[in-house]
Amino acid sequence: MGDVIAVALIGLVGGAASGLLGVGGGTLFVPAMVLILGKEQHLAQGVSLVVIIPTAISATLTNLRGGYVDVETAKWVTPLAIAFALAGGYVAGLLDGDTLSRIFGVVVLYVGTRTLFTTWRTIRRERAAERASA
Amino acid sequence: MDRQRAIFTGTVGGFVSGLTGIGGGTVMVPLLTGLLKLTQRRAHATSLVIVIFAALAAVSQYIIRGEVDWALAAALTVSSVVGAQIGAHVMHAMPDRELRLVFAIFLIVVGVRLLVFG
Repeated sequence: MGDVIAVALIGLVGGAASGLLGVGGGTLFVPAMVLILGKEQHLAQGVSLVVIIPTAISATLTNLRGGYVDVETAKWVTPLAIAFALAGGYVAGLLDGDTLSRIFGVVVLYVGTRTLFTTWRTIRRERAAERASA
Repeated sequence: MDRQRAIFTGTVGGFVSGLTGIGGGTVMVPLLTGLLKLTQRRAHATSLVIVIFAALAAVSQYIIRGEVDWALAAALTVSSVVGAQIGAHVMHAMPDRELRLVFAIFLIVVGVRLLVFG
């Protein structure tokens, strides 16, 4: 019973993160399956990829109705993204994946931190302007 | 839309996501907002379309190797599809700047995870 509730919660939280953030949700699904459900890493990745497909379709149907999908951009980016993801996956097998991931971690951390500060500053400036004009 | 930039986004975004094994969305969203100047909301919505096809392309390898627990996948899907609806509706209601802030926090969490666990 505990496992059923855990699975339901992992799906709900991962799905919500996917719909909100525009990502697959594997970042959440994979560690949750390994740490909470005790699944093996590769199996967790496989299950995660399967779950991502209907999850992303579910959110996309709502996004299409809302008119938020930039279809023209998706048409140009998607085929290349798939081809080069396969190429990247192949190259990853030839290199030290751990070091690569850590280097990329620094880049993601930098982009995230920079975005956080610039956005936070803009929000504060706008609120100050609103207060001044009120 | 700038086609050259779209081609660059697909190429670099796809390659980096395949190379590091992290999902396309984490790489795609910053490229879609930064390079293609999509609003945060449109970038999230457009990224998910790419995610569908990227996951379809990647999953075949796992199915061939038998690394999918179908019962678990089905059980997770039941609630994740509902969660996705909640997430999408929250995204539609959230102002673009706040959405950007939430995504930045997500990037920081992913960055720390990659840095610490590789």
